[in-house]
Amino acid sequence: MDLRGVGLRYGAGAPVLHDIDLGLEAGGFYFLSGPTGAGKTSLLRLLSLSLPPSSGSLRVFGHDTGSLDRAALASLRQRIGVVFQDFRLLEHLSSFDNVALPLRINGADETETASFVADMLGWLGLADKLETLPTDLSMGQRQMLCIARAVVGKPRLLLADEPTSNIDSRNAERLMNLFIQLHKLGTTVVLATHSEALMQRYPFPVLAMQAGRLRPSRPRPTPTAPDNSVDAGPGPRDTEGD
Amino acid sequence: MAGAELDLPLAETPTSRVLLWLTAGLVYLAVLAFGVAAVADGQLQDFERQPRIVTIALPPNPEPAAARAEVVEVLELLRRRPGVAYASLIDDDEIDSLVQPWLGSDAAAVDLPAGPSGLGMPLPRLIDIAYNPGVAVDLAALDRDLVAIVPGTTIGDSGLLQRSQERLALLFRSFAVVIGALLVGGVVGVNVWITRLDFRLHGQAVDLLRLMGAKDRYIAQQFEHHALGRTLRGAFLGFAFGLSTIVLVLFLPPLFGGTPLVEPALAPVHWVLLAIVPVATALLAALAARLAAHFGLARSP
Repeated sequence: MDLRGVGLRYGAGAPVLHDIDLGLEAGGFYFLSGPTGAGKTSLLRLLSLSLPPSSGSLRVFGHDTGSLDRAALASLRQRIGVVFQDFRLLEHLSSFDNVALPLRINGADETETASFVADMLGWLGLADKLETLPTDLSMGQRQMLCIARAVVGKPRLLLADEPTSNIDSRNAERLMNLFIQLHKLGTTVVLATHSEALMQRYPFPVLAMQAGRLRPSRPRPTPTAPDNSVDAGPGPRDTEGD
Repeated sequence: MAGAELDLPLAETPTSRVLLWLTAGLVYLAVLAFGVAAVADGQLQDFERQPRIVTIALPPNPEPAAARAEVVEVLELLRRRPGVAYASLIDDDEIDSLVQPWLGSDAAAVDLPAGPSGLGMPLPRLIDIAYNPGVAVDLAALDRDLVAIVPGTTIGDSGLLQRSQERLALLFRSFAVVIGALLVGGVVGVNVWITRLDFRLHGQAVDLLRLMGAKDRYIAQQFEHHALGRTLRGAFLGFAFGLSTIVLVLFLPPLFGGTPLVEPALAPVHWVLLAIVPVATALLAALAARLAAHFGLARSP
């Protein structure tokens, strides 16, 4: 993923992102930090191909997005998973159907989808909630569901906007393990967070934003968590969890 | 998109119910309009199946030789015209029998100048023209040609009356078809309007599908399937009520000994065409919804 001189403005409003130069290594793990209004969510929207940049160039998986047609952009989006801060679950669909959505959109076989989604929800502790509507789930469970939906298609790029903000520390730990597991499997992860503790705990580069600009990367702090916690992370098919 | 459940919550919004009932109402009216068109078409076909007899009246001519020449010329003209099965002069005896009920058997005693009739009256000379079934008769042209040969020639009222009935049926058929088509167009318009409304209402869900990599076709199909399902239900509801109304109007009065409001001259093809109305309406509406969704998607990034 490569951004060169990227700027973004909404309509005729003032620019919210200025002259972003950023290269994300395939399979890397990045924290995206910054105060509220710094432009983290806007940058994630650009990276998720939700919006085209107002200026500059954006290359995703080796493709210049400015030269792609709508169908090609949709194909690229199929390889990107997004965890939204506000979940964006479809409330008329069951937990199962919400998670199965990306697979069905990608035209996956229904039998495989059923098995894979059930495993994923089982691992996230939602095995007994397959037919439950999101409105009947707790905030933490909804967050889990949103994450399950983002990772179920084994995306090449995972963008997560404050994914641990609505869950307890135990589930946050499990979640980070999942993200790290995906990262080890080759998925590029960009995780937007306010949590200094989270960033200090894991030894990944931090993309710091302020007033719509990327600040120079700060030196990596010494991780406070043992590195073997990464290896302990269960994969999507590990139904036991921790 | 698995089973009947759509990814987008289109069925959960009030617009879905509005679509159902508006479609039902419009299709009900459309079925009635097409029903009127079918009845009118049946009447027209009935007219076309009957051989048409047109009677023309040549004014009296006191000169027997000239009168005979006129008749011969007119008959020749008529027999040359396309679609004329036969044309024949009604003989004097028959004319006498036609007028006797009004004038009485002693009409010969009436003090009038001698005419072609044995009654001694200046009666017109009548010619019957029989047209083959299905022939379009241009009475205005016929009238022009006849008057050119024998000024004062008139075409019998029965021919004109049938012609006016045909015109009326044709007018009804055309008008009803236009009204029916407009009503079907109304259903299509309602679908476009509701699709655009749904597009705004469910913008975030549409955006979510796009972010997951759904192509325009996939998202547009969601709107199409929703429109098809709702419109089909509404259309069959309207069709059922419309058909019931038509059947009541056509067949109920005779069952109770009354006269039918209109002659039920519907052929099987008319019933089939009426049955196509809800299906065709729903298909058109679904196509319109799909195109409206594509149009909306094309404006998104």
